[in-house]
Amino acid sequence: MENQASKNDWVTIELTLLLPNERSKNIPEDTSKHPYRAFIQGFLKEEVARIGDEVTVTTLIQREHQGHLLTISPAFIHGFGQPIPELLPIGNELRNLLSDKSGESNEY
Amino acid sequence: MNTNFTSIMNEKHEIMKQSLGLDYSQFEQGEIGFDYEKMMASSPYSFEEVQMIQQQQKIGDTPLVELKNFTKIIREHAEPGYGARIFVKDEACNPSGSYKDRRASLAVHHAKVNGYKGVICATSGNYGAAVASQAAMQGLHAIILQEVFDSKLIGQPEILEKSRACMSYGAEVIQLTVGPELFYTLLAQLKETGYFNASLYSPLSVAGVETLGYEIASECKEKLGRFPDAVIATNAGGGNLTGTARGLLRAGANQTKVIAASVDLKGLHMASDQAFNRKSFTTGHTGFGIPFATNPDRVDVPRNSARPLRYMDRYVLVTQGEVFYVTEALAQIEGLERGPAGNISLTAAFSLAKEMPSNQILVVQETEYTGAGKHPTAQLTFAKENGIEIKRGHPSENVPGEKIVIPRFVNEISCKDIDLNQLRKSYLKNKLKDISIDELTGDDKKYFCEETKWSIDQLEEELHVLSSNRV
Repeated sequence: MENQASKNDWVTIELTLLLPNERSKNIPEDTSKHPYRAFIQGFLKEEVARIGDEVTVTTLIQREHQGHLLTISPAFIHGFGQPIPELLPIGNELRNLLSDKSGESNEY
Repeated sequence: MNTNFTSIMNEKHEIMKQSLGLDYSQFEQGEIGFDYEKMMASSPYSFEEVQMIQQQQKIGDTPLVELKNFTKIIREHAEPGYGARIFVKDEACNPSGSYKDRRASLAVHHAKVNGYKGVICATSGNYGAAVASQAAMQGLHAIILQEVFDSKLIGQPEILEKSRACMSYGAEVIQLTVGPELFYTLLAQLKETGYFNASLYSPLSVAGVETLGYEIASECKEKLGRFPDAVIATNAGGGNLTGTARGLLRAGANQTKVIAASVDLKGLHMASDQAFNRKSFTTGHTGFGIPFATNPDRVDVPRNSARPLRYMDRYVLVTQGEVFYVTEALAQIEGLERGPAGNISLTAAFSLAKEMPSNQILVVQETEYTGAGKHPTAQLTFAKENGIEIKRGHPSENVPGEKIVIPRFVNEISCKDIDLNQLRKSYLKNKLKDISIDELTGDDKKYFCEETKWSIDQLEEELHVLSSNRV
C-alpha cells in the first residue's frame, strides 16, 4: 500500500502557487514556462489518502495547508556523495610540502 | 495559500511595515537618499544589550584560531619576509553552525518582546537554520521559505540539507521551485500569519553581526598586541561584511582593511531554471554579491541595512575549484572539517596572505558547519551528475556551470580583484535610473559620497559623465 497514506502519516504535499501566465514578468523563459510550485511536509489530516489526492496536512507549527499528496514518509535523500578522485590526493600533497620543512624552526 | 500575485505585490509596503514593526519613511532624506546611521540607530538594543542577548542565546565568543600550517605553506611560496599569519574565527561553533545565529538572534528576540507569535524568513542558506534554532530557543514558531527545486524537482544537496536542518529545529519549511516569486510568497505568508519578518536586511540583522567584528578586533588586540591588518568576509547579500566592518570600527580598528570575497559564478543567471543546478555554490557568489552591492535596496525591506560598498576596501573573486581545494586542505592539514561556503574568504586569504608582510595579521571572519549535502564530496558528486566536468588544472580554466578545476598546486590559488570604482559607477547608474541628475539635492549628493566613499569632486565628475552620456 505504498500509494496510500493514513491519518497522521508524515507526508509531502505539492501546491501550485502560480501558473506560468501568473508569474513575475521579469524572469527567463526557461523558468516562466513552468508553474511556480511549493512543497510542504506535515501530518496527514484525512483518514486515508492516495498519491495525487487533494489533502490537508498539519505542519510542525500546527498550521494547515491543502495540496496534492506527493510522497509518503519522504526521505532525506542528500548524503556525502561519492569519493572525489580529484580531492583525495590533496592531503598528502600538502603534508609532503610541510614535511619538507620539518626540522626548521617555526617563526610565528 | 494561493493568493493573487498582483494584489499581494500591491500591498507590499503595508505588509512590510506591519511585519517589521518599523516605518522606514522616517529615514528618507532628499530625493533619493536616506539617513543610514539614523536607521541603524533605530534598533532599540544598545551594543552591550546585543552582546548580552547573544550570550543568553549561546551565540558568539567563538574561538579565533591560527592556521599555522597554512601560513607555513604560504610562506614557502611568498617573497622573503612575506606571508601574513592567518587566523580564522570558527563561527561553526555557534548553535546552528554559522555566524548567521548572530543575525537571527536579535530578530527573534525582538519578535518575542513585541508579542509576535512567530517569525518568517526567505532564505536557502544557513540563515534559515539560524532563525529556526533561535525560534526554538525562544519558543516562537518559525516558517522558512526556501528556493530548493528546479522544474524537474531536483534540489541542490546543500539546500536540501538546510531544509532538513530547519525541520530539525521544529520549523515549518516551505520548499519552492526556482524563481524570484520567493518574495511574493514571503509577503503572502507574512500577511496570512501576522508573524515577524526576520529579514536578513533589517537593522537588527546587521547589528547582530557587529559583535563578530568587535570580538575579532578585541581578541587580536588582547592576545597579539595589535588589531588585524586585514579582515576578509564572504560577500553575498552584504550583511556579513557590513556588520563585521561596523564592529571593527566600534572596537577602534579603523586602520584594518576590510576585504570582500565571493565565488565567481559569472554567466549563470540566478533566476534560470536550467542554470539553477549548474551552480556548485548556492551562496557567497557573485550572483548575489555584485547585484546586492550595486543595487542594495532590491530586497525584502524598504531600505537595506547591508551596504557593503560603504565599508569594503577591496573585493576579490575566487573560483569554485579553489574553494573546494582549500576546504580539503583545511580538513587535511589543519584538522578542521568545515563547510565549503564558509571557506570562500579563507580561499581568498590563501592568496592575499602572500602579499602581506609576515608580521601582519589576516583574519578570516567565519567558518560554517559541514555535513551531508554541505560537503565537497556531496557538492562535487552532484556537479558530476549534472554534467559538470571536474578535473585538476589551473584555476583559470574554471568555467562556472561547465567546469570545476581543482588547482594542481597550492601556489596556483590566486584571487582576482574587482574594480571597486566600476561597482560604484554601476551603483550610481542604478540609483539614477528614474531621476534626472538636476533634481538631486545636497542631501542626495552627501548620501552618494557616503555610499561610494568618493569625495564630492569625484562624485560631481561621475555625475557629469553620466549626464553627458544621457544627452
